[in-house]
Amino acid sequence: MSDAKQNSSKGSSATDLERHEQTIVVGLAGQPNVGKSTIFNLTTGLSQHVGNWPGKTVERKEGMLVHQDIKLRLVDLPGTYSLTANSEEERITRDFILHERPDVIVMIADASALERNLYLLAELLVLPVPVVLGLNMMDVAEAQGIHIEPHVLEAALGLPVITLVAARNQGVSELIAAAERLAREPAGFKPTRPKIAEPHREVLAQVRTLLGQYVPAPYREDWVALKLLEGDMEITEKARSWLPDADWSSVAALLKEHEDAVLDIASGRYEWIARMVRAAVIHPRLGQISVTDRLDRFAVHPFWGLLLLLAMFGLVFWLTFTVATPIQHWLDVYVIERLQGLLASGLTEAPSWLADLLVNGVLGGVGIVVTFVPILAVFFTALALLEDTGYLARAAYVMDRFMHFLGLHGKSFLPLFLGFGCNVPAIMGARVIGSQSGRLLTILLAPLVPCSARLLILALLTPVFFGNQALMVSWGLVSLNILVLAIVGITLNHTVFRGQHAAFIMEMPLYHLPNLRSIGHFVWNNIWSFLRKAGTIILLVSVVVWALSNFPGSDIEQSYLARFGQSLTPIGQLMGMDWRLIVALLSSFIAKENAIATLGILYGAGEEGRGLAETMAAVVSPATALSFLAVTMLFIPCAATVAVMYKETRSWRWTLFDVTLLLVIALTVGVIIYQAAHWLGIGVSGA
Amino acid sequence: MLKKLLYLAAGQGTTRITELASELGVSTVLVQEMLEDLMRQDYIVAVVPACLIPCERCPLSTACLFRNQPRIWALTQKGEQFLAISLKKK
Repeated sequence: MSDAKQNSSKGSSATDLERHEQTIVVGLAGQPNVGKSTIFNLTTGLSQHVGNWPGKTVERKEGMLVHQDIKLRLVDLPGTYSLTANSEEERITRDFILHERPDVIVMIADASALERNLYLLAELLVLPVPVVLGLNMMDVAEAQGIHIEPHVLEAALGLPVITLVAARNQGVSELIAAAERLAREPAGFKPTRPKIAEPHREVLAQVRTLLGQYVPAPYREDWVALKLLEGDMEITEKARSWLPDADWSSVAALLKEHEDAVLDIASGRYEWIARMVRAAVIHPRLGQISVTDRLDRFAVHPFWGLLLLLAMFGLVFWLTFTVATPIQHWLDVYVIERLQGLLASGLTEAPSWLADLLVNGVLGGVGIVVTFVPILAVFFTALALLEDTGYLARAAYVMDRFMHFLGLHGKSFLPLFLGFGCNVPAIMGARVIGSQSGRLLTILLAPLVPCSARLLILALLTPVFFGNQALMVSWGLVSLNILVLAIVGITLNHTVFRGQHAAFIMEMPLYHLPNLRSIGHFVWNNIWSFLRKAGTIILLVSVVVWALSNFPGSDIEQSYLARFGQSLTPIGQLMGMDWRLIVALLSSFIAKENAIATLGILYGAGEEGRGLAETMAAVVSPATALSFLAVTMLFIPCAATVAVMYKETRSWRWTLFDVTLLLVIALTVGVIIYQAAHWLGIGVSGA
Repeated sequence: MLKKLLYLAAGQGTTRITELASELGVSTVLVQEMLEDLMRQDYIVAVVPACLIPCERCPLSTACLFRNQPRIWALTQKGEQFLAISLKKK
């Protein structure tokens, strides 16, 4: 036992302390926030001394107490997770144990997170000091369904284990009694210590032998050898100064050869922790984690998970068609067209070109795009619900497995998945991929993920042309994009990039009820962003399209735009498309939504009381519509995406390669679809 | 155990913590601890899904579909080298 050198006790406890000549020094160790301070305050009361650790800015708290006529000096050690010299707190704790040699260490652990706390105990047990384990927060552990059998744990660890609820002063005096007993009889302390895993046990012995008699007190050669193999910088520096150069060279050579020994040392500790927990802890009852696990059996299953993902996409489209499309149609027919009528009658005195620009150019283009807000609202609400419940993380995992199955890069799924919102962050997100080739491949594939703007076009046009089959057609077109993405990915991966599989570990968030406020925020932000786009870039393109379709004469078929579009009709005819559809496709390069705005302007002059959709259905055959939709889904990305693609690749060669590749794929698929429909005699005439 | 965890992670492409826990016969909490340890040793690195800038500074954060992120770790170069050497030895 240590002599009582410091005594800051006051009052009655001071009177008691003066009767004793010897004091037991107790170090109070543990991770941060396990209740050490509560125990320290409960046991030492007013007899505390607060200062700093020598040469450090970390607070040192000591206090005195008397237990059954025995004086104890309690030193509250800084909270630490381990005893490797990674932080000042860790150095202070181990230096205190090594240099001040306390009689006993009381380690406080959070019973509700025992596994996290036992690693520190594993490190304490290799130091020359007996340890008592105090399991605090037993009430919290029980509330979480974690049942710990202290006697079993005590037998397994080979050291005293005391259960506590320090917040209610339960078990604290028993803890002090156990510490005092162990300090008085340390000879009986024979804990079960963790062992270094087999492959490096022999190396540890070799290092220990080389250290031999050079290790000065208070250090011990077995502990120093262990720390050297762990790569502890402080001990490495000390050992270098202790050993003659020749011996140090041998040690250094061994350490260099066995850099991975740290894994076997840590593994020994984790295996020890696992053994202790298996022996003494009965883990949770049915709860949130179990619900998550049960749901995940399907949600992340290689087959059912993929089916569920496709079903979820189907559900999102079904909701959109059922709830939002009728509202969009109503807005188109009863709001936009009436507004156009009102505006036209209000502008009878204005120049005809101005009236036409505002009525057909602005309202016919931007107006039709704004009617998309209900579709957006439903679409983003559905996606936000899936995201906020934790499902989208599973979808990402399923997609990742699917990509691995197809031979694509493992990390690619993250940015690609973002592409369902917008291709721009998808391309920027490819920075997460370490390898240059994997990153480039992901950037090239990102535009094949159908973004929300393209999904909106699907949501508008498929119900018109395919009625009850709209859901299946939309689902099929999205699947077509994924299929093309997979084929292009596999081809590029096995030819140009020779990609490699990346190892990846993922921790899923728990499923939980969605937060309506955050969903509302997400939906509103997306709608607002869409409206801003409608008021700027879409408005500008609408005006340009209107101007080009109205000049030089009043006949749209003689306009500049028609002449330009007609020059491309030889290609368009292969897909059943007239010049209007071709121009709409090309205008989508500025922003995808422009395709709708352009169709609104070019087909908008239909009969009164018919929306854009019905007007188109009257003149465009289902085969052409299907071909148009397929090409739109696969077409070259918008200008913002191409710009970001160049910015991220820093290569016009790769940017133009991708644009050309997508153009070729889109046109080829469009031609195949139309020609196949034509050959089969399916939907080749307009309604 | 840590080496086995690395082998398992590398052998399965993307793997979940629950799968690793099941294979190793330990709890998910202990696997999380091991991952923290491997990260400190520079064998694995925590990957922020799809982004390198924090959400607070990202102009796209409000329109992002990846707010409820899974935590993800990937092998570092050191981890990949270790596995390559281990496989050669085997």
